[in-house]
Amino acid sequence: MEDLRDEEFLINMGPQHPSTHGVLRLMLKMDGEFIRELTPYVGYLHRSIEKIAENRTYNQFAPFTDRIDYCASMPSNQAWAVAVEKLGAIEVPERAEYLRVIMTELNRIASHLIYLGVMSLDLGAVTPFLYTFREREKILDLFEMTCGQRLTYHYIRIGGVSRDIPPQFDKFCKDFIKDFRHKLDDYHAILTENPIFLGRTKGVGVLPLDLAKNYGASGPTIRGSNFAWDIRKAEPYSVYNKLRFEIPIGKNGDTWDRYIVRMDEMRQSCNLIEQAMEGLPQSDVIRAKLPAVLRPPKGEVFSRIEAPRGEMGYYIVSTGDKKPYRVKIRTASYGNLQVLGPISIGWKIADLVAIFGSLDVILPEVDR
Amino acid sequence: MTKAEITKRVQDKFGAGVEAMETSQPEPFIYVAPEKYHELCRFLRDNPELDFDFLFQLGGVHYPEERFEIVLCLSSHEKVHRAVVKVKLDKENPEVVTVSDIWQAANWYEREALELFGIKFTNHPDPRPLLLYEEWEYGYPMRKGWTGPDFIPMPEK
Repeated sequence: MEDLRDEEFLINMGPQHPSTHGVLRLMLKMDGEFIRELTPYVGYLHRSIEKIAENRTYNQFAPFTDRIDYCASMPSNQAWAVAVEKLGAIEVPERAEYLRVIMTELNRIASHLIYLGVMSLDLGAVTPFLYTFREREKILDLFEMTCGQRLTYHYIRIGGVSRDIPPQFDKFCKDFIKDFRHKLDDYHAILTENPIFLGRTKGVGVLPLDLAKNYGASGPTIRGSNFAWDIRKAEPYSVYNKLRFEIPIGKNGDTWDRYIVRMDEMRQSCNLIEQAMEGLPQSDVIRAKLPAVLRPPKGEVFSRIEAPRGEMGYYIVSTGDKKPYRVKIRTASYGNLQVLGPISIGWKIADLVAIFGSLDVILPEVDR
Repeated sequence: MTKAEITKRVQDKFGAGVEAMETSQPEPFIYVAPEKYHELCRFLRDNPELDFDFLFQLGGVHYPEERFEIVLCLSSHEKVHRAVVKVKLDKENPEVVTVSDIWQAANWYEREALELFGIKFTNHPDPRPLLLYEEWEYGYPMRKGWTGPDFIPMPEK
């Protein structure tokens, strides 16, 4: 076979390739069908949100956090709120904490549904895409019912949440969870044991654990590599220490394992939502009393939460002014995208699409 | 380990090269001299009791009158503790050695700090711009007081 080897050539993939989930450009050095080297080029969606943050007050910046990860705006909001609350030592009412759990877990399901639909679409299965968006629609209805928005919610605010859930939310949400458990079984029936799906994902793009840690991968990506690490358990924020849930993990760290971790996480999120709905304290207070212009004390804070794609957090430098002096945004996809290069070497382009899909990278989060 | 234990461990090893910052936060904030920075990072990762195997983020901060700073947020998967390492750099010519050989994750963060703040990382394997486009020629946008051709500052009320 050595005699047949020809010279290497370059292929440009993206930035408008449909399977790059936004605008990512990959420069591939190919040896025939096989990838020898992969260089990602990012920055097509760079809006310099960190600079914008320096010119806004703490509350004014909150709607911008929606745009960091628009598939999971609630956790993005929460990451900012948690960071500022840690900086200013702000106490959040308990009802608001429960509402935050309900909303972020619903958003986690919605985000994983996008992953599931788009990932299967990348592999050539069109039907699951339609199914998952049908379910996601119901979650968006719940969000619309609560805060009037379907994509960028700005619901979780510093010190609490923007408004209480409407009376009919309870019934709709419980019905949805009940129905969604059956829908999850349907997805398993369509995909999990499907020979084509298994052939495309099993053993493809194995991510070794030490490599994942070194490159800063987090979330379902690192959990797929047989490692139970979840900020919700390790450093519980909000009321996660009062709720019971498990951390699903994969076995080998391949594309299929990352898939099954997300499938199991959706089930765990259903449990969390049910528990949070059950334990939701009756109270009228959903937001801490704060001054109209917030001036956190001088200091620096490093805070993080578990977003659907992994660890998301902020590093804020405050000088005691109404505007933050410096905001550094750390997002999950930034770390997860860096492992794409090392793990796709030796695979074909068609496999690269599967591997990239399984990392569930969202580009506005990388470029910010 | 607790905040005090981590600080003590580092101070025992590096003595005058490190300085703990006064803070009410639960994690230690450690200032390190630039010449000890690389050694400290390697110590933080390789010491089995500290075991900081995860670089959460690395970013620059600009204090135009005084200095540049780079800030590393670290955490440990096994020990479940966190730390923040800070290095003060020269305000005219900020330069520091790369830590991308210790944590690969630093590679992109350092590229970003280079193009947005102009902080040079010596021995960096791949110092290309990351986020800005190739023809960008308007300096370092994240520096305080930066202005560009289309830049309109927020009006003060």
